[in-house]
Amino acid sequence: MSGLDEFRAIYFQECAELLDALEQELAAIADQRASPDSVNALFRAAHSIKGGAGAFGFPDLVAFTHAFENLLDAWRQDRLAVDPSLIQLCLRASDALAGLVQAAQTGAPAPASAAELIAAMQERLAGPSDCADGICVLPLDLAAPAAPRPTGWRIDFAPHASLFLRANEPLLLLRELAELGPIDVACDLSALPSPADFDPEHCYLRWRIELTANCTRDNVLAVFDFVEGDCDLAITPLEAPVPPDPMPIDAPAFSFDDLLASVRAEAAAPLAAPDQPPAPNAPDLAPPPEPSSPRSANTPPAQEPPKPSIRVDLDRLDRLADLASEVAIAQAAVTQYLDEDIRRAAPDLVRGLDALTQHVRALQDAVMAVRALPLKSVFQRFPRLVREVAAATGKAVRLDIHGGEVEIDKTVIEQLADPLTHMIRNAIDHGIERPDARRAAGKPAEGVVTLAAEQIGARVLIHLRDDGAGVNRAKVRAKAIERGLITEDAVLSDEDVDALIFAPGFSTADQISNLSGRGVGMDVVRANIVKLGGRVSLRSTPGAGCAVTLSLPLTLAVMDGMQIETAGERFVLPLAAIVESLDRHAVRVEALPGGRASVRFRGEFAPVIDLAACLGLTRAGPRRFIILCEIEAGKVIGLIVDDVIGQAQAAVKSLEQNYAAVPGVSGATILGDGRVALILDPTALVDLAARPLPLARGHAA
Amino acid sequence: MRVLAIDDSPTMRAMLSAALVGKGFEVVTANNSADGLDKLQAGGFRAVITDINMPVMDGFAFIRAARAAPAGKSVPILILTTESSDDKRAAGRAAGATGWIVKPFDPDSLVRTLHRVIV
Repeated sequence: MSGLDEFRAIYFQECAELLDALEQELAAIADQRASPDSVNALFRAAHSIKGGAGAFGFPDLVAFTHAFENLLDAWRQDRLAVDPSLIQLCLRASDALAGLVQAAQTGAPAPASAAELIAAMQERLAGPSDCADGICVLPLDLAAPAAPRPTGWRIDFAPHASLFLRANEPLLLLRELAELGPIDVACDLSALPSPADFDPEHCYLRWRIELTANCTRDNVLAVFDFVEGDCDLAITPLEAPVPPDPMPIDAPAFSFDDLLASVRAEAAAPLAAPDQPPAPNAPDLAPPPEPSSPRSANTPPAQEPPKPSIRVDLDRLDRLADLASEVAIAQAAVTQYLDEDIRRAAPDLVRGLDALTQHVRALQDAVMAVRALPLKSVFQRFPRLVREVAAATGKAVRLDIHGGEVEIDKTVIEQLADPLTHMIRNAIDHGIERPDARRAAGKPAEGVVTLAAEQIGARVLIHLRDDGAGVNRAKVRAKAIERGLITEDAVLSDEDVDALIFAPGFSTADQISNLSGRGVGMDVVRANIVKLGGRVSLRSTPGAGCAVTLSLPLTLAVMDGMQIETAGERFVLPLAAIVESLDRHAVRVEALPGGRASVRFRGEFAPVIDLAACLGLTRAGPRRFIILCEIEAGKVIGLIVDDVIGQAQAAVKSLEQNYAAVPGVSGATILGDGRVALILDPTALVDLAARPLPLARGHAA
Repeated sequence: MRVLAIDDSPTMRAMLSAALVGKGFEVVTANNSADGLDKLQAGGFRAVITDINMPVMDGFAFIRAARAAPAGKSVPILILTTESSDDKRAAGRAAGATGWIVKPFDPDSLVRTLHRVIV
């Protein structure tokens, strides 16, 4: 099969995801954060890995996942005593499973612990530990309370017409039953109508089947799984005395339709007869069977239903987000036509439009919330990475994760994994020192890498800190000279040297280490982040460690903006960045040493940038306002603009995808009147203004 | 036995073909529901296997359309679902699906499931 490699690649990708899920759920259980579905999720993960392992012929993997799956199955059915040792066993099994998957993928030897763990899991399953302290916890089996196992089953099977509508076939079901054991079939023709009333698409036949087989009721039910709801089905044990129980385990005939009808009737009852007291449970009225009893006690009790969810194509969500944006634009356009006259003349229209505005906004938020995922979905894969890299480098490293609950757009999440992986590898490989060196420097032998996320306004900041040695500036400088990135006599600040790490083609590893150096460097990390509308900054303290901060937009699709005008052009500034708008003629613009204009804000000087000059626009304008914007690292700058138009929600369109990346501009949007406006990035404007554009100085003051 | 396999993923189509060819099946593939319906009209299929998540016309819509057509009225249709998607199964049945195949499947269980519904 030529495509087998391709299937295998898909399988191993899936395994990686399942192993992540396994690890995450186990961690949740260990921290007592488990959801009702956690153990089920563990089971499904092991089960899915086993399924593919069988298909691709990895016997070691099948044997291991089989034992693991059995253990988890017993756990989820409450047949095991759950204590720390069980969780510990599962954690070890999960690690070994990762090793086995890798072994299957690469042909590497299987982890030595696998066989021992299989034995440990089987032993645990056999349950000697349940009998600790002389108290034996027997598995609770409601179906067979010490009763002799039946010799077979009597099955009363009456198909509905719907069974044929779904192209199922009673004959096949009888054949399948026959595979379980000898069957004795009697067909009941009594329901056959006269030829005149005969409907060829209806089923008038019923069967009573006596199956002689040493199988469970679930085995029998499994035969009928495709026709559940399309037939009346009653399964009673053969030769098992049916006790005259007021709550019979086996109802004489059970119809899913009856059940539905009774549930519906129950649900509708209080509405239909609101004045009547609640119907008492009158046993003499022979109520329909309780929902739980007919489906036999052999099936486990209904599990806590998992939160219902659906999978949706991302394309469809994008389309939805686009449409929501278009609706917002149309709504803004309509609102623009509302002048004072109309407002006075048609107050109802205005109220309606106000409501519409709110709903459109809520709609956009809702659409964005659908696209948002918690960062932990990417963070959770890093504990394993840290363990692996630490082991490979002989360093002791602990990973602290904070802020995994911060949510960010799915598109952003997906593209964060690679840069973060690379950065974490770097932090351990180049940052954290070996244990002996750390001790010599008076630090604990174990290094700490901290991954923290926080939301600040419309951006999410992800900090990756390590308490290692910090950037080795002498080495970086030497390497940069060697690579021809700087000249030997270049005068650079410490920050400038640190920033060289992000320069294209830079790598500090003397040898390309097989951990960090994979042909990409921090320049690729930065390029990836910038592509997402993000920024990377680095702060290094020699001897104390290094902190890299990624600043990312919360969503790529919508932002709250402030429309401004300068030199006859409309722009949008992110509202989250704006601190205050000042009348330029009411504040004192001072010249700092060096000729840079600034205003005093909260006791500090905020540099002032003339937007028109900064962007190279030449048309003269009144330059009436200074907008104070907060930029990264908590600094504030002032932007001189002609006019402030007002607040607006902007549907962000990527300039990069539709045109090209433009410095100082993070995207474009369509205004209510249909004009296109550029969305400005204040932080990037600072860099832009710092470049010696000839116009910048002249207009600044 | 001719089987129609509808899936927008080429990998999945290849896997279905690979699992069935040589086991007494002839597999005709379609990469979307509309193509699947066209091929179904030609007749002669003993069973249909369809994915659910497909662009434009999903598997449920395909099944409804197939059940409304003479050629698809009585052909067994199996949907491809995953382990935990009881709701998908219910929706598939409501649309007229005969049964389901749990992904990831191993070739043997796929063949077994087909034999459960092919007369």
